[in-house]
Amino acid sequence: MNRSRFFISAPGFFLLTAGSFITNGYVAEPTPIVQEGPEHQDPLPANPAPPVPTEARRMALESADAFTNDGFRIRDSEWPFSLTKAAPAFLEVTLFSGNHYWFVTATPTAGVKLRVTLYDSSGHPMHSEQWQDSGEHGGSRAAAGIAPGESGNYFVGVDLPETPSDQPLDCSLVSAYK
Amino acid sequence: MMLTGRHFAMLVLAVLSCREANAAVPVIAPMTESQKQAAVFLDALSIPSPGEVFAALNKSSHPNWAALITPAEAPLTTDRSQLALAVGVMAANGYIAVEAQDGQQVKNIGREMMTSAKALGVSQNLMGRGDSLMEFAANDAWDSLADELEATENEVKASMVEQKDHVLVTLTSAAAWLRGLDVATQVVLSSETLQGASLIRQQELARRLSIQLDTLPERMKHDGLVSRVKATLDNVTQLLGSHPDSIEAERRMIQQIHDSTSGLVKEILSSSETPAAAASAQPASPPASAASPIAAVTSSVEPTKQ
Repeated sequence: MNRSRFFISAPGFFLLTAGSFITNGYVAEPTPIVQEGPEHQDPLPANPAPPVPTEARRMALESADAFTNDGFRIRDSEWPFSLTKAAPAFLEVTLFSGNHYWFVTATPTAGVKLRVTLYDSSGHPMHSEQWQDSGEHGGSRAAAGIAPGESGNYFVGVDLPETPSDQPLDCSLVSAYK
Repeated sequence: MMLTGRHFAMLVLAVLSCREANAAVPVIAPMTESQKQAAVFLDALSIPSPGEVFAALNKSSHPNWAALITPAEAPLTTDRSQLALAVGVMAANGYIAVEAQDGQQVKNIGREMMTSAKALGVSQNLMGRGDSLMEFAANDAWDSLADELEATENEVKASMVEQKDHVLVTLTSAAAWLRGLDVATQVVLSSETLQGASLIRQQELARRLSIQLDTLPERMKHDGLVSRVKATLDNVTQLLGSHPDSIEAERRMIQQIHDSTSGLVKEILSSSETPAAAASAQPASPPASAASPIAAVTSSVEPTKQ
């Protein structure tokens, strides 16, 4: 196979790009999914790895990756979920005092505003650090950070304070700790 | 009292300031009971990884991780429940080796995890992970190793799901958490003031894991080892729900949790498949409460192997 003469299709470029930084995801190494040019019609190389991350997960990991510069470790897992304005989504988590956490969510849908809220074990909202993207990179992302004073059971809530549509959105949430 | 123009202006300004403040901090309603009930409990994110527990322990207790390492040995068994439990325990042991910065031990544990995964028939996708573990260990890439350990454990679980063995995932998660608790209690007990005791207060999680075991198929649920895992989780749930009124009472409570979890961990890793294997397996140790190494678990100085 002449690798000096190929072009990368748009989806192929996305996957190649995604694979370059998702070290905590399903794709540990950049997966060379390369679309050959018209003169090379070999079948695509089979990807032996488990499912390629969704765009929502890719975006959430991309945002969470910024925290690794500050010593945070991203957990090798995601929470994929569907979100509508009418129905916020909640995840139960166990957090430890002394640790610092960030929960990052993203959706490929642009023009919506996501919000991450942390709740204590009785369901009361807690004060947390908040981050929201400006939307300039496409899609929508938000995050909340907390250094809990007590170890125990907490809830992470994601809702849509602003959305032009009632359509359900594909979202992903990842977490980081240090 | 007359409201002068100046007073009125000040009042308007004050009201406007309040409104702006309210707008900046939107009021978020508490969760409803039905929202709490419907909250997702996700194996991969709701259960803390051993790395999370150990990161918190590092801040409160400065454990001497090298003293907490146990020999890496996968059980010689074909019992799928035991193998799934062993993967969880070994993953947690891997984190201990990473914290101790003991590359050889990480390699040994990685190899043993692969052995168990192979026995479970879920190793096809894992060979790359095994190679990565060896490479990172050889290069002292401790952060990458911790990430890779979690990824390896998750990949074993993903393979279990692919093979319609998703019930085994519950066992792996429960075992990893119990081993983490075993270590955490050992570290806390080695402190005179029980430093870090708040970290083991995870009653809700213990209860959740116990409930998850209720969903296992009947045959597996009545397996001797699995039923002991369930009994241990129930026991831990009950103990964590108690409210000791003195430090001595709290120490006794933590000691009971430690004895319960360490005994179970030893049982999970003990070989029982062949008489020869059983004979070569280490004899049951006395409860860790009586073991002397517990005093050596914490040190005032962190190990600084580079």
